[in-house]
Amino acid sequence: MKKLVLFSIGLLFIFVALWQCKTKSAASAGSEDAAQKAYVAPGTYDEFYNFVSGGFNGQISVYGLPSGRLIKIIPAFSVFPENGYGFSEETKAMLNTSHGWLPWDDQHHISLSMTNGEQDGRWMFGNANNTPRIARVDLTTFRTMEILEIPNSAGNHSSPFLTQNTEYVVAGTRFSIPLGEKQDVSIESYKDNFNGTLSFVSVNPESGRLKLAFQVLMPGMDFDLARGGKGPSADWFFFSCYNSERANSLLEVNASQNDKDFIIAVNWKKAEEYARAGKGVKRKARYAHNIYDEKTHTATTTWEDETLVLDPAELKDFVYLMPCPKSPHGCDVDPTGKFIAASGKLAAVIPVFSFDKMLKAIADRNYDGDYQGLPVLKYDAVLHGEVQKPGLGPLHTEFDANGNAYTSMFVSSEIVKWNVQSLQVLDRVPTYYSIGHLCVPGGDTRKPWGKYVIAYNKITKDRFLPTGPELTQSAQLYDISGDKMKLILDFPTIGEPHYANAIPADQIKSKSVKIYKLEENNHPYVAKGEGQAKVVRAGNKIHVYMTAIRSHLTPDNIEGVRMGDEVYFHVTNLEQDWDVPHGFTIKGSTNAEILVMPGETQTLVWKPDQVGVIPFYCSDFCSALHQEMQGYIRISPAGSNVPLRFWSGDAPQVQ
Amino acid sequence: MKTLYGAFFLLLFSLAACGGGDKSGGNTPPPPEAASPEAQMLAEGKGVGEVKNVELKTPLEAERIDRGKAIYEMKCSSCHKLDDKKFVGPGWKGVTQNRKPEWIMNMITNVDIMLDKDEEAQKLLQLCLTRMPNQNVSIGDARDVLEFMRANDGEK
Amino acid sequence: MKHLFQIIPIAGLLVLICACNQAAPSGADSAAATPAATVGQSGVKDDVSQQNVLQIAMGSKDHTTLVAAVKAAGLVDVLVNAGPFTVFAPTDAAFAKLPKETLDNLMKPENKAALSNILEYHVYVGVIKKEQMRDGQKLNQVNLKNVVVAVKDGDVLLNGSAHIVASVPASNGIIHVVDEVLLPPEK
Repeated sequence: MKKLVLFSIGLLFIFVALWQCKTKSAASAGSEDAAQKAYVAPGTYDEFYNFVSGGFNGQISVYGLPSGRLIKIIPAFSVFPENGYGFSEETKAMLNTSHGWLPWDDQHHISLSMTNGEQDGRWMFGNANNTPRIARVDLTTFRTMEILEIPNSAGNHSSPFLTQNTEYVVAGTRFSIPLGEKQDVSIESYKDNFNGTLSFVSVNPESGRLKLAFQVLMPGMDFDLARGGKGPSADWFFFSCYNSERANSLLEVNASQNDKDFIIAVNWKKAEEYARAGKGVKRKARYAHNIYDEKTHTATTTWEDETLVLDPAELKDFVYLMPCPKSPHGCDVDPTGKFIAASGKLAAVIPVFSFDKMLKAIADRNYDGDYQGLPVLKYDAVLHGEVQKPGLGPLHTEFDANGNAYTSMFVSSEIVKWNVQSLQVLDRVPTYYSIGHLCVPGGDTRKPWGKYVIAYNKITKDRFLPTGPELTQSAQLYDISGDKMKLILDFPTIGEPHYANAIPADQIKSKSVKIYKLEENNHPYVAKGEGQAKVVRAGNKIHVYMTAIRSHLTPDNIEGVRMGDEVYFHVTNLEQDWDVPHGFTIKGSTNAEILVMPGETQTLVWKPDQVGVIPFYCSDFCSALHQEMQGYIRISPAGSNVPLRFWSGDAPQVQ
Repeated sequence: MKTLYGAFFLLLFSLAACGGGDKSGGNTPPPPEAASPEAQMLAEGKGVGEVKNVELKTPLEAERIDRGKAIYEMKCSSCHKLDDKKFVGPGWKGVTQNRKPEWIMNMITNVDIMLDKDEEAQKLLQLCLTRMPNQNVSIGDARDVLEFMRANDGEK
Repeated sequence: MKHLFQIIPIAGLLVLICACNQAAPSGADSAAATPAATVGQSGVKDDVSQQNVLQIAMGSKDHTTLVAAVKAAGLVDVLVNAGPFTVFAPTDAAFAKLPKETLDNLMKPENKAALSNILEYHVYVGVIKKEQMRDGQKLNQVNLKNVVVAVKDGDVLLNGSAHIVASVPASNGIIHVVDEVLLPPEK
């Protein structure tokens, strides 16, 4: 009997143990392992900032990695009602262009500033693809500080890529356009009248201030992507182009006739010498240069009126073409600066060019004729080799620190890992679905951080809960620390991500600004303290110098405003505490709210449209008494003689 | 013998039973120290913060008063009036007679910790119901504000 | 028997320790560590949208060889991609014109690369309708080799001999049904 009992207990334990094994393996050996790698515990920080272009939302979004949590949206080229960017009087000027004030653009690529080819965490640059512009974002405030329009350009796609010390940010035009005196020409005269430009915008090493230094005049075709050289190739810049057929219609067919297009190598140091020696031609061009001043909290537009154009067919020896199969897209320089991977998006190979061989071919004048007056180097003379059968539709390549490359394959929906030296394919993983760009942290620099590769996919289909015809864009995070790439996370993204970059959080987080100092606020309508709050009439303009602090607005009662007046609410946030913004809005506002950071002044303009008493309030939940943070403005008929008065708690003062 | 096996087995089971987790024992609070410097300051009514000892001079320093007034107008006047009436926060009249200078300066420069630890500060929060914000006033600036408060209280 | 009684609890104990050992390496097999969905885009369930080139081919009773070849070459997820594609789709009769041995060989796993090469020679990235084809036009196909178009009296000939016998628009491109398999030039 005793034996039987013991036997039974033994069996029971085995049963329990097996059952435990079963439940555990389902949860942990499988997805839990991947989930743990992407898990960032509540209250702890992510390891990387991931800056992701917003595509058609015109913004740049910031995610934490490896969690994939969205932590910030930085408006650059589109208005952002959420914080008043493009709506407040202070920020409207950021969106000025030679075409007028534009509320939207298409933001494709970003670049993080570099020193000696390594990320330095100072600025981020973004391009506007539609109406050519470059934006500079300050990474201490995560705000767009400057936008420069690019003249003689149409579709600023090959931008905003950098030289290795951020000397220049480039802007190559996608479309070629008529650049001569006569603009009204037939589209069919493309081959005679159309040209492209590759613009080099200098970046002030201290302030980051942008200046259009020179533009390289190119034959009419389409310019696509670009990368600066690094290390040995630091003086060069590489651009991809397509439509070397110079077609002006149905490019889907007509721009795929030639077996090869080009990778364009530009010796920017030499171009710079030509520019300094006055060898270029100055051309009239009107373009906007918008700068946000952190002390006045206000953007202003300066109108530039001239550019310097360098013609490489005339000046010689600084632009060379390397033949590249079939409409190359990505044009990516490896961390050593010795190899350039060019992805022919319709090709089934990835040609990799050798910088050393290129220099030799140039020295030997090993040409395969010329293209529109520009020397074409022999393909075999500059080729390091081709990655054979990498997959279908190669688009973009990023690198790790171990000599490996990661190429996105749009048509076959995968990331392919290959070795830069041997050109052997090492691994491949599917993406879900149709990957566009990809990003390895620091994967475009001399010092890649590796660890992850993120796929930014164009098609989402069934990866997230369906939300009608329009779906979120899907991103996938892969662990690349081992030999095999391993999918560890799906995360949704906003807008339409194109290029992205990631940087270790340590390079940025300690420099993050918490407040703007009230003492340094030089806004012309600041009220530094409630004692300076006032209402002033200037003709039909009413300037309200308003202060906001938990939990009241001063003044919060205003009378003596009439129909036909225009009211400027200049709201100064008197708080000096991190993460305590105040919002402001008024009933019937035809504008967005303004969101005012601690120590900052922002202005909402409002034109009364009816007689009466109109309420306004703080639109950012700021405190326990947020709902008390409100006020009234009385609007009297035009010509009324109600005196201008304002107060907040105290007895009214008569002006 | 067989029973022994069983018992051994049960013991091991209970030890092994998906252990790992039990760390709750590590969270017991440290034993209270007899009189930490912080507790001593709190007991003396100096509050808590970097300001341990303030030496006041008479007559008042005019330059400090001017600077203190400017800071008051920019960063304090929204909530504190100069009479003895509560507005958002308490009026300042009499504050230098009721509070130690160290307490005042710690309240200005270290408000979040003060509201956490100082009973007097907590009483004021219960009375006013609005948390005093950190206005990023430096210790030097707080000293100027203190001088302005003394002037407001009629000191010469 | 007595020994058996003793072994069972010990075995149970061992299993237990194993089950509870949280530090045991997991996911040694990377496939096991990948979250559930490993099916590509061809696995998306959607009965409403216009059919893509793959779905059309799969629904055609005249293209069973082509579909089998696409599956053998592992190209099913490619053909549901956004594309757009122009696919020259040889009928079963067209495949039957090839020597049976050649076809059987191509379908073998070790000849997957050669099969892919032939199938990729049937796909152009971009949509070209029949009426857009011009005499002498070269179509550079996915495998980087050209198909040469000839237009004679309104009839389109590919590589001098294959006829387009029908054209079917798809959500991600267009299918031209052809009566011959296109074989890529050697060089």
